[in-house]
Amino acid sequence: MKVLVIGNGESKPGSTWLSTLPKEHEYTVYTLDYGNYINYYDILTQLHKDNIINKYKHIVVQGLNANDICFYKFDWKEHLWRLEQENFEFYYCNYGVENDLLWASGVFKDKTGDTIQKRWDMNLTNEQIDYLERFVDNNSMDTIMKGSEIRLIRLLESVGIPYKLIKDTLDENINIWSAG
Amino acid sequence: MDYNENVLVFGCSFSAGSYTYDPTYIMYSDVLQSDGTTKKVDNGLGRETLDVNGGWVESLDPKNYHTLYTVSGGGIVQHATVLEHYYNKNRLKDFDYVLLQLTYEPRCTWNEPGHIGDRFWHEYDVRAENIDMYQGKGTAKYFNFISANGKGDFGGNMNNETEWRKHMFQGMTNKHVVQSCATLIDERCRETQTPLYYLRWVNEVEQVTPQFEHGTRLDVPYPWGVGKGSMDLFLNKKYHIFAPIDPKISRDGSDTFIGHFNKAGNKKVGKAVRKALEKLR
Repeated sequence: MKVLVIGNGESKPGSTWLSTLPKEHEYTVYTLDYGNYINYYDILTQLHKDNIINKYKHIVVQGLNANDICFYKFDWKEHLWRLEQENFEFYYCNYGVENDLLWASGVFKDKTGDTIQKRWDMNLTNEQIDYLERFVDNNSMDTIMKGSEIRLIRLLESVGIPYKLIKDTLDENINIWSAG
Repeated sequence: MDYNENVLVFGCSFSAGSYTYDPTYIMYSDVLQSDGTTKKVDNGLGRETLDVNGGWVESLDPKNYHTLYTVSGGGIVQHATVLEHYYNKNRLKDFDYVLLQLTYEPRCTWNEPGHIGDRFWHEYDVRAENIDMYQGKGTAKYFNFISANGKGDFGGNMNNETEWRKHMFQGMTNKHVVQSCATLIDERCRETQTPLYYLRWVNEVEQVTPQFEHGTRLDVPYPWGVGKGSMDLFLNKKYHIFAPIDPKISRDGSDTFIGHFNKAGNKKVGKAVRKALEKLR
């Protein structure tokens, strides 16, 4: 059976949880580092538009839908690298995190933020960093994330292919076949 | 007084009331400087004063009671946040319907974390007896992706940065954020069997216009804009506040201050909305 997997950095080539999946199936895995349901909606929509989705009999969406906002390039799908490994076909970001802007709580106060600033020549002052913190430190984030989950599920339901949301890749009893 | 229907209304500054031209009223923004200090700068937004009278909502059916939330510079994200608050309190079902005034999006105007009651103030001076009005407090920060120069408007605080702002503007994430909030409103209204009606303020491209699977679009012309499909209120002195402005201080370099509607303009909008609602109720 052909299975579509959409996930974040935890579903990159070499990930442990993917290696536990039954070997008799073929998996196509799309990953966006730090992505969440907001971004997965984009991936699923593109696959739907391109009429690629219909070749899959099952869809797995991996990720916690974390309270982050990740801005990817508009043409992200042109930048994906393809890699075949046994029964897996991976599509993942060409430059890893190099082409995205990530807003996570306190991101510009650690090394990830330094990398992002360098990449985009941002030179943010502390006051600007505090201002931008409001992207994720606000009273709407929970609402946005709940809305993104409802929206993704509506899309999955409309596609009509059985799907499973996997939130915890460390769960020893992961079952990608059970409903919902 | 007993009212026929209990209505929850959401809008932006266009719903906050009626406006009067006042060239002496200047609004200032705190703008970060490259040395880290803050400077007060004329943001080109003043020049009109707001009369908090409920705006076009005042011209809706006086036999109905309206709980109105308006967020100047805000949009669907704030509306969804407030609606979710009512949903979580199991109070959304207490409304007979929800009425949503859409504006051009994406408007990512986000408040400090905290309870809704601490992020909006209750307007006690609204003249209309059938309107209970709440306005957004000044705790919001603006990440509006609607600026004419194709880069996000971050309240004037990121003037030296360009490429990454363009990247954010041109990507899809901000549009997905907006539509996620529209979907949440749609779903909560569906779950609670609360009818959802919305009016589009401006003829914006579909890609950035919130979509509702279960909502009903009101059959009213666009209040904002000119020509076919519009109410022809825009840049009409009888209904609209606009005036010359020094391009050096305007937000986008234009030489005309474009304000909001006055009382006569709001009356036109309210009457059209009332008529459209009466066809559906």
